[in-house]
Order: sequence, then structure tokens, then C-alpha cells
Amino acid sequence: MRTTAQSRLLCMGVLLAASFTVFSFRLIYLQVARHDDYAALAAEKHTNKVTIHARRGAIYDARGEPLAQNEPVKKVVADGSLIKDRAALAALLAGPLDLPESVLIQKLSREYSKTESKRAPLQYIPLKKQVAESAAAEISTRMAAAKMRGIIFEQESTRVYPNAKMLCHVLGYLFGGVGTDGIERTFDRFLSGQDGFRYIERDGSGREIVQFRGAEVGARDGSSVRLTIDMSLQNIVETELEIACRLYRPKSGTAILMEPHSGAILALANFPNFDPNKPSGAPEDHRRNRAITDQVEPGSTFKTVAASSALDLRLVTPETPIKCENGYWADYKLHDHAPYAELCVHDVLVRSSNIGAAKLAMRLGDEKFFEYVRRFGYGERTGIDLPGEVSGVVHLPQTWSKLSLSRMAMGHEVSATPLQIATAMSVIANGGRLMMPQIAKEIVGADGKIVSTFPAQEVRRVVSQRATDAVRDALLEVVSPKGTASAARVFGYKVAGKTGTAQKTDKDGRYSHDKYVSSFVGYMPADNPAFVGIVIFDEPHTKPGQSYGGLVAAPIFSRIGEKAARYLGLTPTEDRAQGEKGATIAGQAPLFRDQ
Amino acid sequence: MRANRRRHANIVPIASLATGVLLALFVCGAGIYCVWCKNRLHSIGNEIKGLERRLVELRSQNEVAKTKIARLSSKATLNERRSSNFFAKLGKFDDILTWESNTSAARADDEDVRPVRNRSARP
Repeated sequence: MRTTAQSRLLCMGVLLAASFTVFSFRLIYLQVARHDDYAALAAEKHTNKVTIHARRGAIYDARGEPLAQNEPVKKVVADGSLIKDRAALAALLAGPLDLPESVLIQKLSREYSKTESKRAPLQYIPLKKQVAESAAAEISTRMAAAKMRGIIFEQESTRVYPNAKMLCHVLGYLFGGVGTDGIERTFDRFLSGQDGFRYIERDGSGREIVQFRGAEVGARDGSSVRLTIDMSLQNIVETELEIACRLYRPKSGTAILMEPHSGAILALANFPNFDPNKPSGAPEDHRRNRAITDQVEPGSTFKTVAASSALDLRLVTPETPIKCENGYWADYKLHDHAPYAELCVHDVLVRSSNIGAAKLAMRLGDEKFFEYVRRFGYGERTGIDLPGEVSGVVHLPQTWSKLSLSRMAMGHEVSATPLQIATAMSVIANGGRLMMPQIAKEIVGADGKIVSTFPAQEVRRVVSQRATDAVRDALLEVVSPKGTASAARVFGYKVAGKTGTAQKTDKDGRYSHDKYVSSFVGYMPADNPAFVGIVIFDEPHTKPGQSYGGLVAAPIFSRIGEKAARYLGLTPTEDRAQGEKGATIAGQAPLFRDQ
Repeated sequence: MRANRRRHANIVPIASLATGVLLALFVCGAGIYCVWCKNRLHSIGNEIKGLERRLVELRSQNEVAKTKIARLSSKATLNERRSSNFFAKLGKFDDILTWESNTSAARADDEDVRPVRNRSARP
């Protein structure tokens, strides 16, 4: 009996030990041998790596006015598994989301195949992106009142340009959150910042278990960019350009204001323009920053290059007489718009003599003239921090024809961007130094500390102060009653400048007689320039023979100059307009005065 | 005989019981404290989450307000309002102060005090 009991106990013990051993082995197998696999599986199920999005930096003008910033918006998502009455929910959402009920019902009814026979409602149905915070709040309130569930709001942000079309070509725009043009593109790596991440664990219902947060790397918000642009000046320039473009209906128009001593761009406007808040709504052609992407023949504005170069090399003085062939130089088939027998170098610029300019260039010779053209910055990119800049065209002397030098002296056979022409005029305005145009003033980190500044950069000395002083005296007279740009005068200030009227080429490659590029480039006050300005129109519609830069672009410069001088608080140095004897030129541009 | 008597002198082993009770109390206390700590961690976690959500909301409100201010004070909006004669429609208010730069009261030696007057509809 005792033996039987003992043997039974032994059997039970062995069985128990065996079963525990089996379980133990299974436990060891799961916990040790398969540890990594199951840990990974558990982590996959409960642990997530969530991205902490960095906020894109803002863009400000020189005075701190916001030009581009972010607006928080919501993405509205529905969880089909939690929705009981789709029609009622669609009716509730239709108003705030500004979507038809039928579209919402269709979206809310989307299902997926759980198995072949069973279909289940989708748990993630995006209803609308970029919904305003106020609309999202309204939906939340309505849903709480109606005791409905199933709508989730995801935080997003959208880029806002408060000034709409103003400064659009400089600011650029975003596409898919990435800077696609303008400052948004050039400074994208500073503006975008760096996203962070955090490992989190979720409970059974998908909520984060905060106490089990894992490794975390915070987001680094993007820096802000402060531009050299002054929005008050930009407003003046854009308003005047828009008025002019309404009147002349050109293919395009560009106006730039630039600080000649530092190269800082104060205003830059193009027409046609677009709204960067809705960039896809505008044709590609309107989105182009013509100030740096379009090249035109500079026309007579280029004569300053020939004159200042000859003066710099002391080949001539302002008083040196130049024979102007009585208006037609047969050897080079070159015309002047009026017959001059002889003009001094000073008057070659004042009267804008093509023959005089050609003879000045010929005194320099091919190589020297080419060298000076390049020294003025033509044929190379200015280096402004904007994408898409072209270098313009200046052919090598080896490829020139017999007529090339005579044509180049008056701004033909070369092409330049409006910015290059303005930069070259800055050389005359600042005493002979070529400055790199600057559009960004500084980059400010998210913590308010300055990350980077953009000091003025002198590219090279082009000509001597003596040469620029002589050219300035001539340009002052250009903007006088006896010059070609009398309409550019500004009451109370000395203005120096040069008009340009370049014929465009037809499809057959010949110069057109009814298509012009009319321009004026100048600076004021002439003695101590606060800004250089260029106004340029491509194919303005005027009466025949009225497309001259002095008639089309100069009055616009005058209006911009007058308002800009008042805004900048420039002290008037004259008690009348330059060249006037006691009379004022208030109402000098009567075409626009009352608009 | 002496040892046997000593063994039966204290029938209830108070010292051992006390040790056991104390140990049990300690273990229970530690367990309860552990649960309390876990609950506390959970509630603090929820509190953190709530505060984070509130912070995001406040930031959003701040950014929405900033955008609205930027829009309303932008040159484009001001131009639009000027062209639609918005400012004239506002009428005149007694509490608008205007700075008059060229009134006869302005003196060169008194730059700090600028002459102002209430722009009032009343005479």
C-alpha cells in the first residue's frame, strides 16, 4: 500500500516536473531565444516615432514688416468606424468645410475589404486640408452639441503672404512645403529649420502613454530672413509701375530702387505679377522675375560705359571735341536723331549722340572697350541672392563684325538685365565702385540672435572718381530742359540719369521700327545719391514716335523719385527743379498727376 | 526539563509575529507606494499632455492673430481700403489725435513738445 502511494507520488512528481520543465523551456525560448523578435513586434505595435515639425521662419522687410509667415490650419480627417449617421455628419460639416453634402457623404462612405466577404468603413478618410482654425473650432462645437464622434483634426500650417501680389517676384512661393522661387528658394535651408522626433508608446485605444516617452530630439525652428527691401518704397514703386502699365500696356515693366553705396535693393517690382498665396493660379510667364531673368539691349543708357571708360583712361576730357558727321556716319551706317557737326564728350551724353558714343568707343579699341564693359558688370551675373539670374550677353571681341564696336557703344549687340543696368549706373553714382546687389540684410535665428549678416560687398573698382564726376555732370544735364530726360526732374533735387530707347528685333532678325524697350536709369540727389532707380518698359503702346525712354520711363522715375525723397526725408537742395529758372515743375507729368 | 519548560513558557511567539506583521506591512506599503507612484506618473503624464495641447493651442491662436494683424496692416490691404474710401467712411472721432507738423504753435526751440489737437467734429 505504502509502496503504491509512494510510486503514485513519484509519478505525479515526475509529471509535474516534466510539465514545468516543458513550460520553462517554452518560457526560456520565448523570453531569451526569441526575445529580439517579440520585443520588435511589441515595439512595432505600441511604439511610434513621431515627427516634431519645425516651424518655417518668417521673412521681414528692412523695417520689420512681415512679408511671409505661417498660419496654423487643420487637416480634417474622419474615422469611418466611429460614425453612426453619415448623412447627419455630412450636413453638420458641409457649412464649415464649404463642401457639398453629397461629396461629404461619398467620402464618409468609403470602405475597405477586411476579408473577401466582409467590408469595413475606412478609419482614415481625409476630408479637407488647410481648414482655418476658426472653422475647425466651429466643427468641434457643433459635434459636441450633437454628441457625434469620428472627426479628427491634424495640425498643419500654411504660408501666408500678407501683401499678396506686392514683392511677389522677390519673395517667391512654396510648393509642397519647399521653397520653389525667390527668397523662399534661396534661403530655404535657413527658413525650413530641422524637424525633430520623439519615440512614444500608445495604449490600446491609441492614446500616447506620456510616462513611457522614449528618446526625443526637439525640432529646430527655421530662422527668419530680413530683407533690404523697404515696403514703403516698394509700395511707391509698385503703385507707379501699375499706373504706368495701365496707361502704356507694355508686354512687361520693371522698376528697381537700389542704394548705390551698399548695393542694397530697396524696391524691386515687375509687371505682370502674381499672388504668391495662389501661385498655381498665375501663368508661368507672370511668375518670372524679369529684373534678373529677362535681358534687353540697354540702348543709350550704355553710352555712359564708353564715355566713362575713355575719361578714365584719360583718352579724352569732358571738353574734347568729337566730330559727329552732321547726323550720319556713312562708313558705319550710323544715324543720330539730330544733325550735330561737333559735340564735346560732355554733350555726347547730354544729346545722346550715337556717332559720338561710337567714336569714343573706337578711341578705346576693341579689347579695352570689352574690358570696361565687363568691368561694369555686363556679361556676368551680379550675384544677387535670387534664383534664375542670367548673365546677359557680351560677345568676345574675336567674334565682332566691323560694325560691332559702333553698335555696342550705343547699347546694341549687347544684352543685359535691368538689374545689371541699375548696378552699372550705381558705379557712376558711388564714385566708380561696382557693388554686389544685396537683397538679404540678415538672418535671425528662432531665438532672436543674428545668425548671419550680409555686409556690402565691393566687387571691384571700375573707373576713377574723376571719370564718374565728369559723367555725373553730363547726366545732370541730361535731366534738364535741354537734355533728353527733362521729364525725370524732381522738384527740389538734383537728378542725374540717362534715357534708353532700344529697338527690338523682329522675327527675321532685323531691328523693328515700332517695337521698343524704353528705359530710364538715374539717381538722386546727384551730389550724394540716396538711391539709383531704373524704370524699363518692354514694348509700350504709345503714339508713333513717342516710345522714347525720356517720354515713357522718365516721368515714372520722376514720380517715384518725388515720393521716395519725401518718404526718405531727403533734404531738398534746390528751390526749383534743376535747369528751371524760378519756375517749378509741379505737374511735370500731367498724364499721371491726377490718377 | 529546563529547556522544555522554556519552550512552553511563551505559547504565542510575539517577536516572530511582530516581525512577520512588520514585514507584511512593509511589503504592502511598498506595493501601495509603487501603485501610487505609477498612478501619479500616469496623471502627471496626462497633465503634461494637456499642458502641451494647451501650449499648441495658444501658439496657434498667437500665430493666427499675428497673421491677421499682418494682413490687416499690410500695404496691400491699406491700399485697397484707401481706394475704396474706407477711411472717409469711418467719419470723425473725438479721440483721434493728429500730429500737426506745421502749425504756428510749432517752435524750433521746443522740439520735444509736439503740437497736437483733437480732431473733433464739434466746433
